Order: sequence, then C-alpha cells, then structure tokens
Amino acid sequence: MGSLPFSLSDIRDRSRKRGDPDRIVRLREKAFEIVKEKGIPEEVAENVLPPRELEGIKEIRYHPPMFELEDLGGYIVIENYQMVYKAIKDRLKKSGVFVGSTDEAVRTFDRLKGKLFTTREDYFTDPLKALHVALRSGGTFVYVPANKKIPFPVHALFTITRSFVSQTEHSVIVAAPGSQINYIEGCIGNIEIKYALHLGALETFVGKNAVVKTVSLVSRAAKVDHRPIKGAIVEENGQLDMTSVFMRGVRYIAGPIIEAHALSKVSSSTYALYRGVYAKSTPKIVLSGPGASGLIINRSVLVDGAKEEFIGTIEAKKGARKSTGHMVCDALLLSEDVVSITTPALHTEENDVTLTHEASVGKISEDVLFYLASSGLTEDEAVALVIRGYLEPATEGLPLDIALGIKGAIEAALKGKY
Amino acid sequence: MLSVENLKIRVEDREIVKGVSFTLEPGEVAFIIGPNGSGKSTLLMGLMGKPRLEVLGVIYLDGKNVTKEPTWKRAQMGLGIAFQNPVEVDVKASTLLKKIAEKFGRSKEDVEEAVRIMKIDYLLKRHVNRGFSGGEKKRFELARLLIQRPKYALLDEPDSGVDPDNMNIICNGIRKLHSLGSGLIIVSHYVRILRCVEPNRVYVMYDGKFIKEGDRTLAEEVLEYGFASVLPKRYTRSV
Repeated sequence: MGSLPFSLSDIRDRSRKRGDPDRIVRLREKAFEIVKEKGIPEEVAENVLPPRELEGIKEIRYHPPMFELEDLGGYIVIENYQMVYKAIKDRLKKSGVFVGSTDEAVRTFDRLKGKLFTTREDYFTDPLKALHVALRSGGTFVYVPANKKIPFPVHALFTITRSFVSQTEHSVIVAAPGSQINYIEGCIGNIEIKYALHLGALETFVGKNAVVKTVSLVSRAAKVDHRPIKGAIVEENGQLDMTSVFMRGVRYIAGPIIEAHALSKVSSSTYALYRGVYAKSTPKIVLSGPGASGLIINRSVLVDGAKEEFIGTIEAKKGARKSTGHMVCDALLLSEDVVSITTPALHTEENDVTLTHEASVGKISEDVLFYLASSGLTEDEAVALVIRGYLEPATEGLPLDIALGIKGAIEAALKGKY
Repeated sequence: MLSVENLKIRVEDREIVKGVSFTLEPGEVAFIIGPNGSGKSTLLMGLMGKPRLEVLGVIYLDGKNVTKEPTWKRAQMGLGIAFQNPVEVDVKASTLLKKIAEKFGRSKEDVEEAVRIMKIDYLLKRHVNRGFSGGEKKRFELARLLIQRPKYALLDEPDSGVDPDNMNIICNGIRKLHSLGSGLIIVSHYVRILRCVEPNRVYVMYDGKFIKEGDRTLAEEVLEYGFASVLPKRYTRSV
C-alpha cells in the first residue's frame, strides 16, 4: 500500500477554501482518516496524487475535439475537475428542475442534504471510496420535481486532458415520484496522457413511479484507471436503466450497487471493448421488495492481452417475494492471449423468487468469417462488423445523438486493427 | 469467364470432388443436379474458397488463376454465393446489406430494390439469419447477391425447404439476378426451379464427378423421375 502525499490539514484547508459547509468538512476528515488507516493501492498513491493537485488546477481553456462536441454535445463540460462551461436550459429552471454543479448544490440546495454518499455502504469502509469522499470535487446535481418529465436528455461531459490527475466528481440525480429523466455522462479524452485516475461517483435516487435512464460513455485515448462509484436506490414501482459503455484504453474496476424496492424494475448493462487492459466488473442488484425485478447484462469484447473478471450478484432479500432477477454475460475473445472469468452469484432469502443467469464465451467462428468474406469483406472488416453488431445493443432505445456518440466511440476503439 | 479445370477437393483426407471441369460465361445458366452426398455443395464451397478445403486443379476467374486467392478477393473479383444453410451472424441484416452496397459501390436505391424484390423489409432490424425461417434465409441470401451483383453467382439449393409463396419470391430474385447479367450455377433437387430460369447446360453429378451433361430435358427427366434413369447401371444400386 502506498503512502499519501497529503495530510489531514491539506484536506481541511482545501475543503474550507472550496466553501464546503462544516458537515462536509467533517465528512472529508472522517474519510481521510479511513484512507490513512487502510492505505490505497501503490500505483494510485504514486501516480495520481502529487501534492500540487491539492493546490487546484487553474482554469484551462477548453477545446474539445470536434468528434466529442458533435457526438456528445452536452450542456455541462468539466475539464479535469473544474466546471468550465455551463449552459442550463432556461425551460428546465422555470419548471423547478435543478441542473448544476454538486459543489454549488452542497452549499445552497437543501434537497441535496442526506443524499450524498448514501446509496452505498462502502463509502467509509473502502479506502478508494473514502479517498473519493476526501477529494470530491465537481460533478453534476440534477433534481427533477414530482411528476415532471424532462423531454430531452441531460448531458454531462467529463474529460481528462493532463497526466497524473485524479478526477473525483460526484454527481447526484434525484428523480422525485412520478418524474422522468435521461441522464447521459461522457467521460472522454482523446489526448495521450501517461496515467490518470477517474474516481468519480454517480448516485441515483428514483422515487415512486419515477423513470430514470443513465448512460455512461467512457472512451479514453490513454491509460485511465476508471473506478467509478455508482449506487442507486429505486423506490416502489420505479424504473432505472443504467448503461455503461467502455472503449479504448480504459482500465475498469468497479460495479454499481442498485437497491430495488417493491415492484420496481432495474437493470445494469455494461458493453465494453477492452484492449490490453484489465477489467473487473462487479455489478450488484439487491431486490428488497415484493415483485421487484433486476437484470444485469455484461457484454464485452477482449483483444490484445485483455483480461476481464466479471462477478455479478443478484440478491433477493427477505420480503422480496415474487421478485425476479436475470443475469447475462457474454464475452467475445479476439485473440489467443485474452482471459475472461465469469462468476455469477445469485442469492435469495425468499422461496418464491426466480433468479437465473446465462453466459457465453467464444471467438468469431470461421463459418461467420467465411460467410462475410463471400460478400467481399476482408477478415479485419468482418471482425469489425461483428464487433459493431455485438455492441450495438448498447445504443438501443437511446436518443439518436447519444446512439451516434456511442457508435462514434466504438468506431474510435476499432481504429487501427478492427 | 469462370473456368474450372480438373478440380479435386478433399475434406479431412477424403476426396469429395474428384475431377470436375466446366466453363461459365456471364449471363449463362448451368444447373448441377445429383443425389445427396455427390459433392455438389463441396464443389461450390471450393469455388468460393472455403478455408480448410484441400483444392487441386485450377479455377480461373476472367482469365486469372484464383485457386489460391482468399474468399474475399474472389468475391471482389466477381464471384458470389447464396448458401444452402447460411450461418447466424451477430450483425443487423440492414447493416450487412449496407456494408455490401458500400463494398460494391451500390446505391441506397439498389439496396431498397433488392429488399423490395425479396420482400425482406421486416427482417432488416433483426440479426442476420437469427430466427429466420427456411424461406426467409433463402430470400436474404438472394438479396445479398442482388446487391453484390456478382458476375458469377453460385446458388446452393435456393429452393430447398421453401413453400410455394416463398418459391415465387425466390424465382423473382433469380430472374432479376440473371437479368443483371450474372452467370448462374444452380444446385437444386426440384423440377420447379426450371420455372425460374432456363438452363444453358445441365450437369448430373455423382460421386464427385459430372457423369452426364445435357439441356433442360435432362433436368426435367431426372428431377421428375429420379436419377436411376440417367445413371449408368453400375451406379444405380446405391442411389
């Protein structure tokens, strides 16, 4: 375990300088003590947190590549960890919807109270999660009032443009009962950097009868340790679809935890192309009320020495009668040196519960390549086409611009070979 | 011209095609008929360059020896195939057809026309051949070829397992392909294929060889009454 390049007083000073309320300062201090006690992985301590980061990054003029602007658009752009551009739709404001920075909301928005760090129990037990709490900076807070349906998706775009940066944004979505929202976050970067850590968080609260869809698109040109912290609580008859798409140089170690109350429908879907990186995906759905249903999908393409461990969990708690859970994990192996390890875990504390899983691991068959070759496609073209088809479900049901954004990221990931 | 000289094909050390020679000009139609297991499909796979087949002899495509060329290159040079049992592919049908159009310089209208003729519009959002019925698979195969427009098209039992309505659509597809100038090699077991297109030549294949050559009359005789009437007596016992 590595030692920390900053002290408790650094954390306290930074927090005060940012204008955090006292309760937040105390939370950061508490989290820091946990980090200090338990330690964090060496590569994180050595590479990501040099003391200068604590002084704050000066605002850098933002020049997003056209691909990102065109495909991801976005109303909020956060570079490294500072929000540098913000354009909230007037009509959202008028209807009582709040879309702004979490930092601002922590200081001014009462409805956020009690919503930070509440969807997961490990914020103050896991040292990396605690590190996030200690360094939390930026992020988006979205509040949708009861029965309000936002007609267009809210985008947030996070990008890393410097090496040795830890991005620790904390986003919170609160969908009050009967409301509806699509939230899209893009974590991207086309600039080659040596190493960076993305330790952002997304907490989602879906009220009774509310419908929420979140999409996270992660596409980095460089080595980014992507360890998002995601949690969600879905109340009675609510719906949550959480989709994550990972492309290019992303080392991914994370898994959302979703709590599904009575009659709610939740899903966590991951679509990924891992090239030469390690990934550990640990999604978990907890069915806590009668009639709840949960679905976990993990569909990945592995190439050039990539290794993926998938440990999916669906738990039906006492009282979750007649609940259902299903897990699907598919891996497409494109080279001999890749590894896919799948561990589905299904637990129930009730009798009349249906929990199932299915898995497939395989290569693209010679017959498929021959079939496509008979239409004039070279092997590389055929493989690329199959990969696109394999990952295409990631774009289903999404607004056209977002679907195009994801397709763009897949194309970027396929450049070179495939 | 597609020209095949003394083609022999071995599969896992067993010779399936035992010396076949023929030629086909663009626009010509040749039928290959023969009992199950006589090597017809293997011959078409060998012509298309299926991996792991051991091929001896020479295949010329417009004067160029393509015997060692990969499948994609043969396709780009003007050879196409409609498979008897096409595989399922995790790609949307519309995506594949668009890709073929892009590959062969066809327009959006060309794709739409192929889709219309083969009546596959409702299949476009599904993955290629996944859950397709027998007739749907045959129609999709022909749609691929209508977009590809190969100079020489190999049709492996385009009419097997197909109901009369689907047969009419398939016939329209074959006629259209022929009208676009493709030379056709059609493997079939059914006399009804003769309603679709007129053959210039008919070959009877048995035990890896063309044992008889003729015209439409030969096809009618064999497909109506069976192979016993045309095979030499020494063959008939095992037919």
